Amino acid sequence: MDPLVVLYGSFALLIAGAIVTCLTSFNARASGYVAFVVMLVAAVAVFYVAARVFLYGPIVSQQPLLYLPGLATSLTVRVDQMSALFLVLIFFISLLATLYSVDYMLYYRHESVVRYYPFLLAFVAGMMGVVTVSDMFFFFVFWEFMTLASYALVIYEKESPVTLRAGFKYFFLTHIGTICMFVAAIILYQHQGSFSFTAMAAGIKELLASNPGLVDVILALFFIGCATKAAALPFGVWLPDAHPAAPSGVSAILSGVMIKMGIYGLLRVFVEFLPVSHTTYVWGMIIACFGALSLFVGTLTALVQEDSKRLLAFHSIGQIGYVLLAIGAGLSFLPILPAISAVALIAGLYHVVNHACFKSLLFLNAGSVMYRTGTRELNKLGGLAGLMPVTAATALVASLSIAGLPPFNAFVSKWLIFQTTIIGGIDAPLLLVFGVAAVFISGVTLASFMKFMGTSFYGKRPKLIDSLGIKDVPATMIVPQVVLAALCVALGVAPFAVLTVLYLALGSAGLSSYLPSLLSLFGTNPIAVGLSLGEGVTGAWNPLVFVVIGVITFLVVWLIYVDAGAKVRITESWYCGEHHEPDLVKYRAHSYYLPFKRLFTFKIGEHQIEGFYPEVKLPKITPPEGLRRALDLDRLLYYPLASLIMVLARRFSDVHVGVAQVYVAWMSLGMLAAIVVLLSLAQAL
Amino acid sequence: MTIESILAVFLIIPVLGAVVSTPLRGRTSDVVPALASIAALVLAVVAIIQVFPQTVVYHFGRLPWIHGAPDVLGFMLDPLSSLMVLVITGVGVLVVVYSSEYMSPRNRDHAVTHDKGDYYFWLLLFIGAMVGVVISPNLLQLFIFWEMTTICSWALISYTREDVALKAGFKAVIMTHIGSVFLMVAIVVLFVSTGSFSFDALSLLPPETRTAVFLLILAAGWAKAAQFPFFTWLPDAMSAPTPVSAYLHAAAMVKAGVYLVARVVLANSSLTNEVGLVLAGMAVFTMLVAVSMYFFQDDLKRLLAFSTIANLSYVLLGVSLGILGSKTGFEGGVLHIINHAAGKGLLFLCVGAIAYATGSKSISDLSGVARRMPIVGFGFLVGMFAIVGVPPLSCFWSKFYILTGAFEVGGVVGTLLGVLVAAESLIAFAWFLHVGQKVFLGSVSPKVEAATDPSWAITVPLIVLMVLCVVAPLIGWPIIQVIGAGM
Repeated sequence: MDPLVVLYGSFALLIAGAIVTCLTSFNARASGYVAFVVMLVAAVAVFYVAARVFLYGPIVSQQPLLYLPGLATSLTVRVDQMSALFLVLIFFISLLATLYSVDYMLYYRHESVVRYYPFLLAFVAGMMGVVTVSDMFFFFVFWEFMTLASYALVIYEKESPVTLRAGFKYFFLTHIGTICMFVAAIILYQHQGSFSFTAMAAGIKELLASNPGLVDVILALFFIGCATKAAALPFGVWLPDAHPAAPSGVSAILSGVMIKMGIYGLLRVFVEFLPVSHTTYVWGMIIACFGALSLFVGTLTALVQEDSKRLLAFHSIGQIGYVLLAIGAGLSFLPILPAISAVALIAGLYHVVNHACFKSLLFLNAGSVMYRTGTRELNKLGGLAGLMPVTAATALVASLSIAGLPPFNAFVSKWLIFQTTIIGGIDAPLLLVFGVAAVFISGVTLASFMKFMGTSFYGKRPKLIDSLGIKDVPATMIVPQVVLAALCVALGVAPFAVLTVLYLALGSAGLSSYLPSLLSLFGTNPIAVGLSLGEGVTGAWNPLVFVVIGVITFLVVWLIYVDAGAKVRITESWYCGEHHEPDLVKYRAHSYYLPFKRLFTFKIGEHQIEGFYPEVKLPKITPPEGLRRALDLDRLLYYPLASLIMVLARRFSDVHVGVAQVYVAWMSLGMLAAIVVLLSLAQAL
Repeated sequence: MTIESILAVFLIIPVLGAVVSTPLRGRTSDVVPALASIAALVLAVVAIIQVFPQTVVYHFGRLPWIHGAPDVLGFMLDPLSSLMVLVITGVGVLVVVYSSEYMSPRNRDHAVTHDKGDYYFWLLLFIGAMVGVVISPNLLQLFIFWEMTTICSWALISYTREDVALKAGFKAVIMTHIGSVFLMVAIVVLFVSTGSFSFDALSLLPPETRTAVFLLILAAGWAKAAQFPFFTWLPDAMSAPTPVSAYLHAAAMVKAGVYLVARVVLANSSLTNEVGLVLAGMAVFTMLVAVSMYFFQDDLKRLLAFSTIANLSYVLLGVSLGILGSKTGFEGGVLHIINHAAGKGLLFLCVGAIAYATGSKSISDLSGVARRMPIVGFGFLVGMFAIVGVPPLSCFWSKFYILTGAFEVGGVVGTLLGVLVAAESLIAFAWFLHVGQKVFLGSVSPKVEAATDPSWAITVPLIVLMVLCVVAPLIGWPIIQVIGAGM
């Protein structure tokens, strides 16, 4: 079957599904299943297309689908390996999130799902458009469409003022970014007369020779647009509000996939459009700086959060920081050290994929906890592992993944990021510093997730939770979590296969001439990674060896334990003889990392600063009254004019005294004047 | 039927409908005007299908007392008129249907208990006058219908006979009439110098006179289209019944102003860059003034009025970019006419529905409307995102054309215009998002507690306009393609 037709078909199916779920919205579950089936069919179709692309190369539409008169732009579709990679990510995560939503949405008893499933499907359709078009104008169309749909999902709980504020912040900030990108693309359009990706690339290349300053402006505008979406600090301040506000299935998509659209945009602009030059180096460094800022501030702020989804949201900023650091390093090494650059870019993509898996999973875990307990406050939770064993187990997998522990997936990507920034950092000391900071932050991440796990799943169970009579979540919510957890493991133990796919994706983004061969980068062993960044092997990682060693160690310990036959005593905790409720003696989320909190709590003048991430309270906008007075044209124009006319009319009416003789006198005077004028005119002529 | 007779019937139908429906009482008084407006829409579509993409000009008479005069009476249907005709009759039908429910005793804002014959008379006459404006083949005939629209809008704005309404109607007449005087002077100068009333006669004038005449025409357009410094009549005209406001903003009156300017610019390629700059500068200035006024408005209708002013500035900016050499900009301006009509018509009719159901239009009184009135709430949000330019809704497309056009003009001026437009767009986006969230989302306020979605006569026009908010650009594209090809 023609893959393009399959692609169009799945897009049409999503839109049709959006309409059908509108009509079925009276039944929340039925709507959920309809949406899931639609997503499933569309996903299978898209996986087929992606597989074709990876096997046989890019798919390009010959005929534009839509041509805009007057704007020299047309809707053309091009699916290369990079697009295919993101397509698979989008549909995989969205499919699981939709399945998860079927039961999860019953949590919202007072809200109709008519505002959920249609927008969810439209949202996926929008993201699908973003990664498949090869025309900047239609990229924007889908980009904003995606933002609109996701905004509708973020404000799902539309009666909560917190949610509305989050939605406003999200849409407004990303809209600023989009307008920046509009301007950048239009400047290039002005030089090339087309919005197609090839014209954008040609425009940048041409301007690089003639007007490099303008190229920097264009790149800065593109960067602001993409970084806002990708939630890199300081542009991504919307994220910690918007992600917790959305229903958990949507949080998973937002954090797992949507912010990656920013990364996709960055890769298109900085890898595909921008020719390799000194500008690449400069912008690579700038991107790496923003990446380092995000990972540092984002993760350290996450450490002190007490709301589960907000904690995860800050980690999204932190993990996007890793991705940006890797991409920045990759770009800056591109002109000088192609091997390190290639590994760094691939590591960035690897982390994108990994983050999609573990962060979506974590949001689903937090959602499951919320579904059963009704709260996101870590202070109120505890000991859920006994009641929700599967959720707890998958959350543990995700936590170990995000912390970068072997043999889970993020270990490989982080290891590659550390390798490239630190080894490459010999030539660029700034990146060395960032690399070391990233290693430190990886430890902080682990600490943060010890808190997440310790306060929600382990420890004493508060009485309130006990009284709820909780059991694990329904099967439709279990399955997505288990699948994602399995994926976190799979992507970690089969790194070579993943690297091969990512290598192909990167190669399609116009870098094929720069990339060293896959085997020269990652060795020839398909079950391991033999990294070489230049001359000789600089690192090796074989997950199987690690797993085997791990299993053997466990076995040994277990055998010793069994052989010793020591009795295990399970007793109540001893509170020095006093009687305490578990709620009182529990180690709360609030109590974690207090010294650290104290360290970063200080006052500057009147302002209390807590942590790295000061909450900015926007002042209520009260436009100056003077402006209104200045703009009041009635006062300035209409009334003076009207009163002037009135005054003149009154003066004129004074002449009308009502005495016939006076009128006759006026008439004779007038006639006299007329005669004089006429006579003098006649004389003059 | 020949095209000439179709056009003749098309012009007569609304006027005839106006006369016939005046004495009617009861249910028929709602049905006959609706039928008349639907007939006008059908004829418009038939005529456009027959003509498009050609241009038909048909003259059938001259005025004997104008010495040596060319043909002055007739019809013209070209792509630009076609677009206007579609907007005028399309929105006309929806407004008439909507009025049948809105102008009823069930209205909590303004219960109407008396007969509505005179209301429909003025409304249908308004449609007829607007059709006359856009199918006039020359400036003189245009001027006659132009003044008819002024009278109709005066009668409709003052319809409630309340003190505020009377003052507002008076103000609208005075201000637009100042513009009309400029137009009259322009036409006289044009006729005296060239012996012609036709739109392209400006090119026959010597350059200085041409600029002067064009500036006079511009002033007329500014007054009609509520641009700086004449715009104050439009926010006050909010005392009209809401369907009238919707019609006034989306399709008639103010659109006549931008139509005139677009028509003259289209017919005369000889206009200089200086007048283009004047038009562009005034447009951007008006836009910024209007957007600054957003922050002070508590009445939803007044807020929408300032939004209309800003959006008409978009149209005029697009037209001015055409003078400055950007075809894209001109096309965007023309496209914005129809896109804005769909969005703004929807917004006004939604506000009307809210007033109908709650008796209030005040932003501070309303909250959580979407909970009680889901269709109206959704409609307003659709219209809002359409107006502020979020794809795939209508105004995004035309605004992007205009933004591109501004940068296409290039240089300091083009870049400055582009940046200012982007800034305006962003502020408008933020404010409308804020107001939309405040009024439609959030918890339900006491005023809204008892409200429900109104009956079909109000909701059906809303749903049609929601659909149009998506498909309006699809109607506009073929038309602007022909216009662009002819430039």
